[in-house]
Amino acid sequence: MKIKLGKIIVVLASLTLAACGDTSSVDTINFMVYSPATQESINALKQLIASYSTSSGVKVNLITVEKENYDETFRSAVRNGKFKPDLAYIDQPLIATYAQDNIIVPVLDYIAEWDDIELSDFNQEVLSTNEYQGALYGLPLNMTASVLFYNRDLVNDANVPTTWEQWKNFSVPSQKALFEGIGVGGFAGWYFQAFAKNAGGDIYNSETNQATFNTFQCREAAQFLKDIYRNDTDYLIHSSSNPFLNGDCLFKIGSSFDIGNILKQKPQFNLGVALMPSQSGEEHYSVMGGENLVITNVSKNKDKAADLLHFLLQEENNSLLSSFTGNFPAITEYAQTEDARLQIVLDQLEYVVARPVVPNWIKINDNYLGKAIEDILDYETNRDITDALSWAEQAANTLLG
Amino acid sequence: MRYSANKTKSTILGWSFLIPLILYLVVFLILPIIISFFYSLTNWNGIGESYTFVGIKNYIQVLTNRILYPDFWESIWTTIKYALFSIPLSVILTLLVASILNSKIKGEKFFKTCFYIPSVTAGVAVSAIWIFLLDPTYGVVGFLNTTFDWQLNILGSEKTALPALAFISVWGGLGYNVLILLSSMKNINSQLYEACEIDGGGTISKFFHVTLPSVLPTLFFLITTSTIGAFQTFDQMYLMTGGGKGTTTIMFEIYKLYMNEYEVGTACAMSYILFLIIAFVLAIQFKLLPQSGGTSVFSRKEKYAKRCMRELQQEAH
Repeated sequence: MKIKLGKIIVVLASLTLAACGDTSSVDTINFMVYSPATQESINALKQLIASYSTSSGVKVNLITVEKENYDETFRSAVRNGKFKPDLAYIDQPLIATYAQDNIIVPVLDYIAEWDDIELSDFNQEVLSTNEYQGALYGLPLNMTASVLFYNRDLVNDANVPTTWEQWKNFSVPSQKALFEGIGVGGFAGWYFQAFAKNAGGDIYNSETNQATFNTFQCREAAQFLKDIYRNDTDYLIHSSSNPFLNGDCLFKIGSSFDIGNILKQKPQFNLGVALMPSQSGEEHYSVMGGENLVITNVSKNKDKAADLLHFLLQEENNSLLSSFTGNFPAITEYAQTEDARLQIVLDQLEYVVARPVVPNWIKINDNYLGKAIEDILDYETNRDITDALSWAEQAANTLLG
Repeated sequence: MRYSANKTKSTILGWSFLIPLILYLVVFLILPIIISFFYSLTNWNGIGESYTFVGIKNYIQVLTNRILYPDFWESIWTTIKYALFSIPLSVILTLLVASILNSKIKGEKFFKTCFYIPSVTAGVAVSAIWIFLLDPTYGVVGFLNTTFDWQLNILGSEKTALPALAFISVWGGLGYNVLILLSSMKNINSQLYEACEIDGGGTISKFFHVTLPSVLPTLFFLITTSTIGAFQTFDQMYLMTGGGKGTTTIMFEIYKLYMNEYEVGTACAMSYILFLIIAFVLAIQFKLLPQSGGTSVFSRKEKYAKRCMRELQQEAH
């Protein structure tokens, strides 16, 4: 009896240890992705990966994770997870942090072996989000740009503003607000870059080693935002949930994935899409979003991970993967649409600006720049523009320095 | 020999029952406490394999660096304000509702169920309902604003957002607190009430001289758990205001540091600072608040009641 019990314990312990160990073997790779929103998309993704496994003979463990919990799961998985990812999605502003910590590896050597895809095929601004300290740490899978949304029941297509002056002086019906705003924290910081750029400035210098929030152009951009957002009669509208979707706001900023979401929530919503208005009315800058694909340093099958990356970047596959998030493939040639609204997003992508690829950018964006913009636009805080932006700039440069 | 074998067998049996609990305590409580304290002394970002031992630098930075951690002191103050609002409100409402339910009203079970429903409802669902109710343009508040031309903006104003969240939290936990207190009230010796009545005491007198002293230990337990809960509050802020409008509590700050900014070391240091704050507040509570009515007021009343009964019996003879 004792011997039997002992054997059982040994077998159980061995099984447990095996389960806790690294599962990757020579012919298996782990691919971590955002979980697609619908079951149909999940099935399509599984089918795509299955077709790769069949053609290559490489088993791929597909690890789908909700976008909200993705970074935390990725970090845990890389550190000590059962399924250490070989290939994974990464949000653009995180490339520098992971590269600095040696979690992801440069990919240029792998791409050099491909004869059908070249770096020049990608949207260069989107590609630049993978460049950190002279090395390329990933490839962009998809991309999107923020654009101006308007309610066509309240705004005539012919009157959509193209300049700040037109936007500021737009005639607003009573009980409505002109602009929904640019959100708080991270969103406020992210969207503000587009306004700063449209005012002729930027939020960081060309070496990306210094924040330039408190320049004349940035102050002008902040003042413009205050002008279009802050109106005492808008106070309650701005505090309500989804004022744009409820028909209480004329304009808001959104991206390609928001188009699908809005029409899914309210199919009858009369949504109009336009390029971001600029100060001069000439170049309509905007900010970009999207996901990059990276090969992790913990991968024991980097070559196979690169091979899967290559497969995913093929036109049909890239288009399918991009469609899950409502974005466009980052390879310019593949980025096409027949939808008039999405075409505006494609046009806007010609004027996108990237976030700087530096570690800690999320903290700088969310806690300093975003907080400053939030305080400037807040009805109660009503912080002075120069005071808020100079504080944010000083704080950001403490981290960047 | 046989006794010794039996003793060994029962010892093994005893340990076999204890081991799962001991393992649970070690793996899920003691080890994380030790590990997080160790991390609080490092600059680990939760990603890389390497980290540097920085001593108490994280603690000093959190307490003194207003540029890197501009919201720390503000979040402490917000948490204190939240606690000052929610704890007394919770205690008063719990006492009130439990006393009413204890007064043998009709439909006691129905009301108990009603009060307990929020405690068994998912926090996200509760938050979604309150967000709708408090929406300044569409919910109940929106209706009031439109009807009376008011400008109520409860979750959108710094003056009202935090008290509103505290109220919602108190409302959510009321059912549980009431059940605990009510069960304590049900155990009060009815002779004490009779004695109080003989003394000419009315409802209020009975409440202050019998009910309150008798439930003091339970009340102290509720105050203690409410205090810990208030200092660790997070979910309402996360779900309803996203930490905006002056509702960033210390737990929310820790969450942001850990999850969004990859400062695991600093987040752990902040957690230990929170632990010290809670320990300090609880120590004050243990010192100042009466913890038992049983040994002083309760037993005095009981003795008094017994004496009254004896006198009555003697008179009857």
